[in-house]
Amino acid sequence: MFETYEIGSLPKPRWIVKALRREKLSEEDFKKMREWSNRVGVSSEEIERKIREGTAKRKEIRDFAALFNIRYMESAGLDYVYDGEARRIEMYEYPVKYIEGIELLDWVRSFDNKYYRKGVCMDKPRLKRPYHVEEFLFVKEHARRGIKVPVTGPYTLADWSFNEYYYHPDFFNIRESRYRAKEEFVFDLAREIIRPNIIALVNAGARWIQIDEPAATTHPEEVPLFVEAFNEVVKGIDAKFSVHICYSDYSLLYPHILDMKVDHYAFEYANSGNYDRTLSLFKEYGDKKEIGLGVVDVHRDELESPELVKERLLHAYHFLEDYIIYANPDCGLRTRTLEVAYEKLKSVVKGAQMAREEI
Amino acid sequence: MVDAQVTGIFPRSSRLVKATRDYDRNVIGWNTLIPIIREDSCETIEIQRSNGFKYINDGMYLWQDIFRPFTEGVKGITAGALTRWFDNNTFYRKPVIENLEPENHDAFLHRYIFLDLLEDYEKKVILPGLYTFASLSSQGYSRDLIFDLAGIMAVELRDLERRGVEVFQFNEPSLVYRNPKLPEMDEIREAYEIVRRSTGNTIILHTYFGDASPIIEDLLDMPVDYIGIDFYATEFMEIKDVSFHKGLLCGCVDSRNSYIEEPEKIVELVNRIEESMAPRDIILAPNCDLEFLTKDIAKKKVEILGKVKRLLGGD
Repeated sequence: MFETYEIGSLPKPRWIVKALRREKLSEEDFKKMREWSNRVGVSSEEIERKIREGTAKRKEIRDFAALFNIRYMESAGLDYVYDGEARRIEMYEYPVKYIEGIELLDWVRSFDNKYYRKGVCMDKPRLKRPYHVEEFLFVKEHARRGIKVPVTGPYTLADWSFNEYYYHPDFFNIRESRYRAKEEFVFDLAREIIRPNIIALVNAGARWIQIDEPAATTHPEEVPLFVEAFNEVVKGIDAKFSVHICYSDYSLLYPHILDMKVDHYAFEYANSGNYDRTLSLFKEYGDKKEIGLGVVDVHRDELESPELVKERLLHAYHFLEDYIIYANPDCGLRTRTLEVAYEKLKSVVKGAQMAREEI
Repeated sequence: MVDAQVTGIFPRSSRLVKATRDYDRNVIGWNTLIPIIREDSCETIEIQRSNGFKYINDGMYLWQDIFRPFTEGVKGITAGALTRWFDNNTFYRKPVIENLEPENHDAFLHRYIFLDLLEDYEKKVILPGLYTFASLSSQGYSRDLIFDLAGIMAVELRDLERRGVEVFQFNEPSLVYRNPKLPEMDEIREAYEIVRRSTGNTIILHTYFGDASPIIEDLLDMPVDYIGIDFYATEFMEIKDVSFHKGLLCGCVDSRNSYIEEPEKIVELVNRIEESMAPRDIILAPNCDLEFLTKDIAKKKVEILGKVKRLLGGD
């Protein structure tokens, strides 16, 4: 009970970003790299020498970043780890680069002066090659804890892309033409892109795969489509599957999600602070999946104390009675600093330990 | 008569994207950034002009979101949590409203509009709709709040009218998004009466992201000149029998997909609208802000509107 994990992404330290961009690191950057490496128990001597000499290859820097993140999570005490998505630009752009048929366009605004590159589907999507196996094998070789692999799901990839290949709007039947276009796109991504990736991961030894679907409830009328696509991805594959959905009205998932072939839900709770609203849904619908309880907010620097984490876990434990509960942040911690993210993870671990002692 | 207009914030060029990032990282200052912003605005104005648009908007380059000028310029409104903008992968700062004083409000909005760049043109300004503003604020909708907001908007409209603005558009996605439980439409209508009394110029109430058909008759009762409908969210077949006794802002180009529409299909839609709904006149428009697209694609969409306007004899 109360095993711990991170959702996926971790902060990208400035010294890694600069090294990858071939920018000159300051002495302060090197100092921070050494301090953090010592703190999490990884040697930075060789990579520092190579960066200083200008001989560090990008792969070596990325390998170091991945190893750093593995040790970062292990030293924080997590039971399940990955590489903090050290090799991924972010959860959308990274997979899209491996998909033939989706072209990346220029920047569009997300908010304020923050932007992301949007893809457009111009042809039937085809997988260039599985894009998570190498990073998984690296984690498998180095991790000393259990492994959970985060993978962006087909519905979110479709929802965040423009769709020119399938979409031919008919003003005299607009809803139907839009839904059919989305349906075809999502299912092609599920069958041709995500499922082969997951089969490759499982063949390489992955046992727990988390499918990230933050867009799942964006269009409530399409929740059944999201569920069917998920099932299409995982059907007949022997692994543990979880789904991560953040910042959503989870009531929109029901009852459709009851048909989903999934073992574990990783939802967000700490952001809203309203645990019972979502936990009640599990009881109301008799939905007995494992629960990954978001016990720390990833959008605030304020640290949740281990006591607060313990309270949240015990509240869910007593509220749900006989469910298996894990402890985790609401979402990936990439927007926090290394220090804040580390302390939040340590709170998750300590709070889970304290909760375990009380049951 | 057929015209064409834009309906919201225009996307930024690659150059401006880079400049705003540099500004955030303190690599450049405001004095370096502002000429680049103005350059984008000039280009956006020219795109509209060259495609035969009569009323021109500056692209809203000083608006970080539709509410932001108000959270920065109105006493009693501040910017709150980052919140998803309807069903999009974009976000806005929730307006946190406390103790509004509409009776003491001083017009400020002109500082967020490049009126000098619009000097030679007939000007259009786009504003948050009263109901959308109230319902998405921290307080949520109330009669008092929508009336306070109407009072503030009335001050702004009077000021902008004096400064030569001829068309005011209120964006009201919340009125049609996922069948909202709306308060008495009378309250919303009364709030728009306050706005109506502040200007004799054109007022458009534009709905998008949702189906307008359930409240179409209420919309047509609003004291405004045009009602805007997103024909990517509202089925034409469900409103075709409505007698449309106002002007129609026809959201016929999809701002949320890069697909370039076939002008002939839009012409067919407009012809069917004219035949069956007989609006007083029609403004061709994107269904919502073009900022969901890259700037290159947004330009192409504006060109489509210009082409449709020409095909319909709207030159």
